[in-house]
Amino acid sequence: MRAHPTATTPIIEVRGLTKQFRRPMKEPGLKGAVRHLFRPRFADVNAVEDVNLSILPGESVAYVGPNGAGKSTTVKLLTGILAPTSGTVTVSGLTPFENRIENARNIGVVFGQRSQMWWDIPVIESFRLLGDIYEITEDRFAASFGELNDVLELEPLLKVPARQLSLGQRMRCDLAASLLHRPPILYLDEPTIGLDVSVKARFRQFIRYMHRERGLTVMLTSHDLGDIEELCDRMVMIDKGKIVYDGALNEVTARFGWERALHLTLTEPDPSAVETASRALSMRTGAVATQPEPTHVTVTFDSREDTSGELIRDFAPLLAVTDIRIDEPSAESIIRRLYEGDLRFDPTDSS
Amino acid sequence: MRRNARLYLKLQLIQLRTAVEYRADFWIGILGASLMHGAGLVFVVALFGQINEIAGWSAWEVAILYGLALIPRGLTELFCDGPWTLRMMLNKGEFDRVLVRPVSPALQVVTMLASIHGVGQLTLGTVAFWLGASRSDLDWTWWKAAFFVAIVISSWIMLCAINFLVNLIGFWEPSAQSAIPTAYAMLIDFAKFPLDIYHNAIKVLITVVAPYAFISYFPALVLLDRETAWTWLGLASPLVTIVVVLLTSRLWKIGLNRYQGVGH
Repeated sequence: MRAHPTATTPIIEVRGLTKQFRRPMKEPGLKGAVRHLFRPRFADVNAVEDVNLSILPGESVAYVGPNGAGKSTTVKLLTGILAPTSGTVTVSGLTPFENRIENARNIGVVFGQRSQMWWDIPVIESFRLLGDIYEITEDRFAASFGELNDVLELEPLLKVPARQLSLGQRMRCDLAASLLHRPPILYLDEPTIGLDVSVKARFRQFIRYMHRERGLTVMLTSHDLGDIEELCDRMVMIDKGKIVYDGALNEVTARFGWERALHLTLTEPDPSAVETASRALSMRTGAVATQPEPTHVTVTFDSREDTSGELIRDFAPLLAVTDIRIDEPSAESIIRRLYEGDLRFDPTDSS
Repeated sequence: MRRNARLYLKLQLIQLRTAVEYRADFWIGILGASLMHGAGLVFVVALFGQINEIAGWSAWEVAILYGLALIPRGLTELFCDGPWTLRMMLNKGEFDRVLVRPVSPALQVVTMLASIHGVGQLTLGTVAFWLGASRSDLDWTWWKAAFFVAIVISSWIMLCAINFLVNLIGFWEPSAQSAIPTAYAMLIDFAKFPLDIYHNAIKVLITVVAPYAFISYFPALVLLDRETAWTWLGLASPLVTIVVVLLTSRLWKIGLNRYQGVGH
């Protein structure tokens, strides 16, 4: 899946990026609101803290994390919508918030929930206007629009005003709109929210095509694990404003998937099997045995402390076991657990 | 500059066309605006049915004030009403899109809306001014004609700037359902009558706080050759416009920086 980054100079370079917001501290109720009016109190919150990130041209990066982790703030900092509190952002050699207009020519942005089409005019006219806004010459427009029109099958939509488009049709138009000026970088912020399965599949197919054939650098924030797995080679995970993982998508399991489960099937129902297993495992602090069914014992353990081999040696001889199965967590289950907040990332283990 | 002018025309034309395409809305808008200002006019006519003049101003002279206030207002609604969408854009996060396009944010904001009922104001204002000017003792000279054109343009620019100015509050209080912008804009109604009839506080209000007197009253003193201590202020109107524009653009930059979080 990996596209071949042709250069080794990063196209996006982020160093020590921190964004602090001042949040008003209002006490609840009218009394609190009135007090805030006269004596406002604020708390400084770091939405993004000391983030370092380098993205090479032609990479496709998934930027994931639970709601409120700082994903959108990071995208806003990279696109120049926000200025950093400290640290630097360089995109194609420019500092986005200082060179907003030049930077805008190098990037395409798709905000999943907000369209950039003009609501009331036929779609084709919105494209023409964007052509003027991005100063695309007549023949470059013809070439670029022609390609997008073919791949995204826009033809039947061109005469329809954007307000009459379905969500999926509008997404196709928005994709075309964000790539019309052929930017080297595309930011996708929650692009597939609300789309049905087949539209999602076409969307992913298109992004993959642009990524592979056109060398487009893609940065995607999404809660949709399918988007992440199908589109990105690299995953950056952020939690509470800090990067907790940055690496290949398929390596995330090696780093965080230390929780394993051993499933044992017994030859006959044995109500005391769980006690037998627990006794055998009493020396191993990370391992816990449960018995969901009379013929089934499950032992969960921490693969950093124990190996399945050691555990099996410890207790398997004491039980009549017919079959053993070992569950390894998938990237998907790890991301899901991060979102649910029951995975604690300790930055010290991630190196 | 030329690119911006071309883009402005294209984008604004789209908004005007859209406004016209919603036909029902178009006619209701025109009708509403005509009724609103027509009612004001009926009041003036009724008033002058009873008395010959107020504070030394005849009915036709007041019509001149009406015209001078309504013409630039109509132009502004047609061509620069976009800032009224600013607070909603900030509120809903749509302003983000404005910042990732290679065009100045002010240009994008100004072309977000065209209020077609500006046609009503423009028509009514032109008729009022034309009737007033032809029936009062306004002696036209070539320089007065030039002054009139200059004043209309300068007033138009001032009202555009004020549209930005009042809606900038959104950068500080994006959730504002505030009535302040509307109230401030409505103060222009004071400019439809001679300043002489108002209490000093209101005189200060519409000269200094919301300088609408510079679009109608002071220029009318010049056009009607009224020699008062304040007539020269009519000639200074374009300077006031420049001050308002400079102030607005300064605050606009501060507002933008605040949105982007520069330096805090």
